[in-house]
Amino acid sequence: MLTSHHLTLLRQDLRALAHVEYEEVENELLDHYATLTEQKMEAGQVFEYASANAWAELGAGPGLNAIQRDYEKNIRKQISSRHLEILKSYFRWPTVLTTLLIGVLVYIVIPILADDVLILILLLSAFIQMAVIQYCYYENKKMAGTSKKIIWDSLGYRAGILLNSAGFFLNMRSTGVIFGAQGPLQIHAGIAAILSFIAIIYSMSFIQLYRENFSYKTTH
Amino acid sequence: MNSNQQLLKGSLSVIILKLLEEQERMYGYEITQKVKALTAGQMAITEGALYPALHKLEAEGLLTTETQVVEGRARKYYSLTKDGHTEAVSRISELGIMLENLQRLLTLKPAI
Repeated sequence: MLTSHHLTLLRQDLRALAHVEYEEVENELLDHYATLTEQKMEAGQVFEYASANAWAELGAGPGLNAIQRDYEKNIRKQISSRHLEILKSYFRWPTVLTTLLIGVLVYIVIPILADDVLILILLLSAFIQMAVIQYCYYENKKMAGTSKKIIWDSLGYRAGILLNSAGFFLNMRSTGVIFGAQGPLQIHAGIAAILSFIAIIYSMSFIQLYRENFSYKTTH
Repeated sequence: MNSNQQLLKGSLSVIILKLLEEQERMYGYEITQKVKALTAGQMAITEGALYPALHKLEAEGLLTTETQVVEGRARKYYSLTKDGHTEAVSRISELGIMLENLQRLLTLKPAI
């Protein structure tokens, strides 16, 4: 049986040489690494040789780090597919009725509003994404060392997509290159309505993800 | 990668499901040793293939986990969920049919 000092040394290998940073992955790999080392010690090897051989057998740093990367990918994939499911659900019964009503409301209201008010609305929608990114950043810091960090990373990135899109669209207006001095939102009320609608739906999806506590099926 | 390992990679999830059907719960190292023992060392599952496969099956809701402290370290045990049991039966049967067909093709005698 390995002593706690031995286990500390093995854990250090995982952190320093394989750059394993999530507690869940680390615990699982540590158990494997330790069991393999113990087996070699039972065969007569001293700890130093046994652990070095076990390390090589496990694929050393790159091999173990690849397991962690796959783990990250797996969680990101789950978040991504759940987010997509939520977005799709807005276009399925019974939510589709609410979605349609929001769409119609946006379409009616947009042409009535002045260009500046529309920009303010778009900015506010973008602000929600900014708030999400900021919140994700703080949660990310708090969750360092656990797999929840991957979730916050992933959500921050997703929130950034719409924020960047809104920034891009608003910057096009300020340059006046494509739409002239009048601004795109008044000229193309339909486009403005679609953009606002997407922004609202996208923001709502984050609220729903948050209410679900971003559940995923790996690591407990 | 030798041909044995290539074949093994394609059927790894079925092997895991089958082993967990036979034994209520297992941990990662135990699975690798079981495969090695059952195949008299002819087949070996690498850790780089095993853990991603276990995590994927868990994400699909076919496996569930529980962690216990054993000899001063956390050990993660995997077991089949209800869906996992159903899926295990189905996947094992599918692989069995495929192997039968493969066997027929491999033992095909040239036409006279």
